[in-house]
This record gives sequence, C-alpha cells and structure tokens, in this order.
Amino acid sequence: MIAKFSLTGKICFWILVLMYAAAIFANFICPYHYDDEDRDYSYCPPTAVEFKDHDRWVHPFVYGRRLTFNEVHRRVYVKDFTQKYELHLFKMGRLLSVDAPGRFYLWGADARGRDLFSRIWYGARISLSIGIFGVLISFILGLIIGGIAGYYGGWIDQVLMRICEMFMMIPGFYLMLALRAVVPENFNSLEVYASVVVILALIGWASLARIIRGMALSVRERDYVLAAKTFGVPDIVIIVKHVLPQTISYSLASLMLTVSSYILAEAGLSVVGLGIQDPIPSWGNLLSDAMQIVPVIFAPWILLPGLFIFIAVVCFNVVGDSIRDVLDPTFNESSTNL
Amino acid sequence: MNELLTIKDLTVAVGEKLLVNQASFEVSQGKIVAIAGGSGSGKTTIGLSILNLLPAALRIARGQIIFEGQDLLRLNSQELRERRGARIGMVFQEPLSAFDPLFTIGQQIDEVLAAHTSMTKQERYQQTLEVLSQVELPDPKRAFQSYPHQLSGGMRQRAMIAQAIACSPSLIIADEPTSNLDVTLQVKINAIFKVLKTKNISTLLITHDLGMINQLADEVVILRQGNVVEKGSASQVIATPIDPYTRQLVEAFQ
Amino acid sequence: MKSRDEKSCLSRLLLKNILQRLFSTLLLLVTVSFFTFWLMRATPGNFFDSLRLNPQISQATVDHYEKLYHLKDPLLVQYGHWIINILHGEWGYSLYYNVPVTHVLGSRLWNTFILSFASLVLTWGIGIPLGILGALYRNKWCDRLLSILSFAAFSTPGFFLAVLVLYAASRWGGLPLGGMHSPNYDDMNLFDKIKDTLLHLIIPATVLSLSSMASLQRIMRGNMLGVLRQQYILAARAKGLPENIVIYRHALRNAFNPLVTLLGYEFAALLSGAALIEIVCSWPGLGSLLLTAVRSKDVFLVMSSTLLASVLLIIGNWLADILLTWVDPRIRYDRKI
Repeated sequence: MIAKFSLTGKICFWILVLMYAAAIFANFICPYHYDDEDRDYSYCPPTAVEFKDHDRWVHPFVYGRRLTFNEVHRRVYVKDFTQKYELHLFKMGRLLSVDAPGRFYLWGADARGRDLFSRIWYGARISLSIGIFGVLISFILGLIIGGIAGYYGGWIDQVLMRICEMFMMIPGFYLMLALRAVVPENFNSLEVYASVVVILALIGWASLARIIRGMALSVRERDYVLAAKTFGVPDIVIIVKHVLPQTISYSLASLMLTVSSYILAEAGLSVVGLGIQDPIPSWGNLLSDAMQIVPVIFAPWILLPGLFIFIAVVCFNVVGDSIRDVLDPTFNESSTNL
Repeated sequence: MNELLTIKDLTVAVGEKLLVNQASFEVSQGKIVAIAGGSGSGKTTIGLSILNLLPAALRIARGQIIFEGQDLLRLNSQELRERRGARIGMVFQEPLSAFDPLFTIGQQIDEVLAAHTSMTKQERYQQTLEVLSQVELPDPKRAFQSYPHQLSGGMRQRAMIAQAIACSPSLIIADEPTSNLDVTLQVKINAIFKVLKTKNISTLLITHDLGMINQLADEVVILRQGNVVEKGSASQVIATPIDPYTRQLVEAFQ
Repeated sequence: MKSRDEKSCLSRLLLKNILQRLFSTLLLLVTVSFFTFWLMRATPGNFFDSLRLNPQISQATVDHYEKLYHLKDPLLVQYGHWIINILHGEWGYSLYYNVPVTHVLGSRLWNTFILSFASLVLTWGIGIPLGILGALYRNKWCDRLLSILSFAAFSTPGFFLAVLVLYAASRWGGLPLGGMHSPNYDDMNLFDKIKDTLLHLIIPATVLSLSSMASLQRIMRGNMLGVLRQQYILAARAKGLPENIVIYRHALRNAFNPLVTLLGYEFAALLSGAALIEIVCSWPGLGSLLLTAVRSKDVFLVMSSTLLASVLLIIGNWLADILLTWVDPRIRYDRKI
C-alpha cells in the first residue's frame, strides 16, 4: 500500500519510520542518558564541533564551556580554549560521546544541564508510543461497541450511541484533566504512563466507535451478510469474519489521524505537568520549561521538542490522508497533493 | 434558409481523442429533431457544446454553431449568457440533481426570469405560475412553494420543463428527459413536448429511446462514436435505415 | 401565500423536531452529570477529610457540607441530592480558593466565553472566505500556499504556537504578553476597558482559531469543489445566471450547509483548545481554573468546571442542531431524529 502513496505520503511515512527507529535506538544514538545532569552547564547552547586546531585538520573535538558575563552584563557561555575533548565514535555503546568532564550538547542543554538531544530521543519513546497504545485501546473499544451497535441496531444501538455521545459531549481537555484527578498521587512512572494511555483512550474511543458503527450499519445490509444469516451462522462469527474486516481497512485512515491527536493530547497534558513526570522525558514535559518567556529568550533551543511534535503530527496526518486516498479515491480532494 | 439552429462540422476533443467528429445538422423552427445513439456516442456533448458548457477538459476544435443567425462559438461570455435560459432552454436528465435542493421550485424559476427580463416581482410570479400550469402540474401554487425533494419524479421533470420555457425561448435542448421515468409518465412528458411544438418552440431531443423518437421527432440524427452516420426524416429513417448501425438500433427497438 | 392549514402543519413539525432534540439534550445532560458525579466519588481520599484537616475551615462549615451531601446514603441518592443542590446554585466548596465554587466559576465562565466567541468569529469569518478562495483558484499558487499553511496550522500544537507567538511578541513588541487586563484596568473608562481587553484577546484568540480556521478552510474548499461539480450548478449556468449568483447563491449555500453540523463538534474542540491556550497565555478562564483545581486536588472545583464545560457544550450542540434544521429544508420537513 505504501508504494501507492503520493510522494509526500511516502516521505512522511519514512520520516516516521526514522523517528521510531531513533526512539528505539535512543540509547545508542544519544550521547547521554536522559537523566544525566551537569548543573555547571545549565542552559548551555549547542556545542560546536571543531574540526581545525590552529588551522590544522585534526580529529573532531569540542571545547569546554565557561559561564561568564558579556559587555551588557548578560550571562553567556564562551568557549574555554584550554579544555579540549575529543569526540569519540562508538565508545561505551554510544554513537558519539566525549570524556567527562567535557560535555557534548548537540542541541543545547536544559535548566539542569541535561542534553536536549538525548532527552528528545528518549522522550520520543514515550511520546510516540503513548499515541499508539492509546489508539490501540480506543480502537478495540470502538470496534466492540461500534460493531455491536451497528450490527444489531435497535435499542442496543440507541443506548450505546447515547453513551458515545456522552463521552463526546465532555470537552476532551476537561475530561482528560478530570480523569487525571482521579489517578492516585503515589503512582510510579510506569503506572502514570499506563494511566495516561488509558485516559487518552477514553477521550477518543467515542468518535472511532461512531465511525465503525456507521460502517457496520452499511455492511450488515450487504448480501453476503444476509446469506450468512440464512445459513444459520451465529452472529458473533458474522461480526468477526465479515463485518469487522471491512471496517478495519477504512478505519486505518481515522486511526492515523487519532494517533496524531493523541500525541498532541499527551503533549498538552504533560506540558502542564499532569502527564509523564520528570525525570522521564516526553516531548510534552520537555516543553513545560519553554512555557515561560524568560528561559525561551535565553535558551531558544528548548522549543525544539515542539518542532518534533509538529513533525510527527504532520506526518501522521499526511499518512492518514494518503491511506484514505489509496482506499477511497473518490473522497473530497486530498489536500496533500502538493 | 430559415433554420433556427445550424451545426456545421462540429468537432469536440478531449486531449487527442475526438468525442464528436465533424457533426453537421439543422433544426428548423417549430420542429423536433432527435439526436440518437448509444452511450458514448457524443450526443450529450453536442447538447452541452451548443450552450458552451463543456467540462474544462474538453475543447471545441472546430466547427460552427449558428443560432438565430449568430455563431455561438464566436460570442463572448456576456452575449452567451443572454441567450442561455432566455433563447435556449435546457432540460436535464435527472431533475432531482438539476435543481438546487435548498431553494424552492418557484424561487429557481423566478431566478431565470429575473436574470433575463425586467419584469416586476409580481409579474414574475404570475409568469411562473403560468408556465407551471402549462406543463400541467396539478397545483401550480403548491409546486411553486415546494422544494425539489418534495415533488415526485414526474412533477419534477415537468417543473424543469417549465423552468426551461419560462422566458419563451425558441429552442429547448432536452437531454434524456424521460430516461428516469416510468412509462406512464413518459407519455405525459411526450405530450408536453408536442404542445411546445404547437407554440413554435423547437426541441433538440437527445435520447437513445427510439420509441420516443418514433412518437415525437420530426427528424433524427444518428450518432455513432461521434460521427453522424445518418440523418433525415424520423419516420423514414426508422422504416428504412440505410446505415448498418442505424439498422442495428432499429432492429433492437422492434 | 401558504394556507393556514399548511402553516400550522409545518410549524407543528418544526416544533416536534425541536422538542425531540430538547429531550435528548436533557437526557445527555443527566448522563454527563451522573458520570461527572461518579468520577468525583471515585477520587481517592475522602474530600471531607482534607476539609476537616484544614484549620481555616470551621467545623460548622464541614458539618454543613456533610449534611448537604448525604455522604452516608447510597450513591444514587447522593447523586440526586447533588443535582438538586446544583439546581439551587449550591455547587460545592473550593478548597483552594476557600470560597464556594460558584464565586469562582462565574467570572471565569464569562472570560472563557469571550475567548471562545472571538475565536469562533475569527475561525468562521476567515476560514470560510479562504475556503471559497481555495476552491475558486484551485491549484493556483494561492491555493497551494493556503493548503500548506492550513496543514501546518492544524498540525501545530496550540500551546506551542502560543509560546512561539508570545516569544515573537516579546521580541517585536506591540501586544501584551498574556493575562486579560493591564495593571491599571480598574482605572480606565469603559471604552478603554474594552480596548484593553480586546488587545489582550488578540494573541490567545488568534492562536486558538488558527487550527480550526485551517481545518475549516480545508473542508470548505473540499465542499465547494464538490458542489461545483454538481448538476445543479451546470443547470444554473445553463439558465444563463450571472456567474456570481451561481457561485455565491447556489454553490456557497450548498457548500456551507453541511458545515453547520460541524459547528457542534467545533464547540468541543474550541472549549478543549481554549483551556490549554488559556493556561499558556494566562487568560483567566474556565480552563486555567480547572488546571489549578486539578493541581491542588480541589475536587468540587474540578468536577464543577467539568460539568459546566459539558453543559456549555451540550447546549451549544443543541443550538447548532436547531440551526441546521432551520437552514436545510430537507431536514426541516422530513427528517425524524
């Protein structure tokens, strides 16, 4: 199916693959663990890699950094030419690193001197996976409830749809926060992760269920379903064998779009401090530093996680659109034919 | 030559493919001329070409369409618009999709009058009721206030004909006007076209229904894959077809 | 022109429609309130324990609330009392603000309303025309540009965009950086007060509407293109109607109508999105209230805000539904619920 995507669709798909690969191999590609602090280097700007020493080509290295004041009495980091640290390749299981006490910040450091590059890719593990798991649960819930409602119709349909509507009538963010308030305070990080997954799943299952219900409603009138019924095939078998497979391929596009909205939702939750907690990074809670103007002016690189959220969301949306174009080319003009 | 409409060498292409190839025929005042052929023969294309309403991908490569002494293909859009609806009316195959679902029948007929005449609102209302009764709608006032989906198929088609004749045009182009109707309604619509003829309104009837042609048309033009293969008086062509394709059509109809 | 019989028949149908919708709306309200209530009771820790431990609250107040909420009674009974209390204006007590919840909700609600309303106006006021533009100039450079911008806009997290805009504003000046009023608000005359609020409204409202504007533009463009392919547009041109009547009377109305159904869902996204933007821009609305409440485990406030937001949404949807019925004759006269 991917071969049939438009060019933008293919590009976005491979960007996503790359991002997931980077997340999975984070402990290889990142110079530091996400928790690795060095308060001397708080908000240190990205360290430049030097290739020349006194105009001679040498093995790449970085200079140390020193905190000092510039002419207008602002705090800046300047290169400390007395300290040179060689850039190592493949040392200690990491792609790039430097020996302590040198620090190598590809994309700058946060308030506690932790490497932003590393935190972003470790954070990718959380941000990119939470959306997937959330969607999985939403989808299963939606399949069950939507499938049953659409297939049986009648009062079952009415009741289930009312329940769906109820969930859709509580604004997502409010529902998220309200559910979060119910989560006990003493959960460890894994339990918090699981709770966030469940919360995300609960805010989005209802619209998926409605879509699936609509599809189930149309499928059940098809001839092969009626034929199966006349042969006495039990309902549940019909649902699983005939109704659901049809709905899955068309749900795929909606699923992609739901993943992107979950990524945004998790980011929103974490950015206000109610999602994944420090020190475990997620793109959302990395951005919580950036919610104050002052650090942003001083260290604009802390906005980078937002860029990655944006890229991930765009890619999921484009892939979702592309899937829909492949499966249903008659749909409204695709806006991704750029 | 007092031909109302003369088509000369009309050629319509999409890309390199020819949909209509050097078609030529005439429609005289007060006559019903049918364009017959299977699907894909180019008949609807000819109809749309007259009003210059072809989809963007199609282009008129050559030819002349002379209506009331003027070549329509040489007119600018303003002049063309003055003729559409006013001098030439069009009746579409599927009246439910040819009417705007959000406006009443009355409003849509009133529009045509407002665009082409300087009648007052009251006069337009009277004229609309007048044409609605001319097409033998049982309750013109009710039809006026109805939305398209509230009328039955037959009433809708009659309303569309009413809309087409509202400004007393000299030519009606009817594209498969009865294909979607059952036989009893077809008879009624046929009767309306006959009435139009008595008012000296010519009709260009686009259809694949030889039965209708037999009953209504004075002349017929047989189209096959964009080419005119035969034309002449309807009764003659049907009785003694010359071209093998025409013979096929006639035999299928018998 | 309509006969008396017809008129009364039509208005009876319309009335029946409205009543049916009203009934399902009420049903929805009950369900949502019950769910919120159940959620509240599910919060670990007895709310009243914390009340009792708080030295600033007198025993009398605690007793008063305990009696009011019938904690010893079965769940359904408690729910019943809660609803009755709500209807009487008794929404509970806020731990954090140390006042009854109603004192806090009122002004916050109004602020959120202003923000949401401004955003709605921007979204529809700009999104629709841009959508028409995109359709009429399809695939020309301005359509492609709009397409890319739209896509980017609704893929950007709202709060992130807010931060970027605030950052830009702090660099280039001109607009206030958050909050709703300037420090000297209370000294201003009415006209200046309005101006001040509007100035503060610009950044949050714009950021909030950006993503819905973008998606609305996409949808409007798609609808417009779909409508322009319809037979009745061809028929309208065949009637010799001037092009601008074809586009702005026939195409536009048909393209626009289905969007009214979106209005309901729009409210949901609006209230949700507004919450986060409020927080980032320090706009004192319902959303930022909710955040404070959750952080401080202020249960009554959390649930009241959630309930209030849901009620707003439900009412908004109901109004949107009625609007749709009014605007589409096919639904008005023929559709059952």
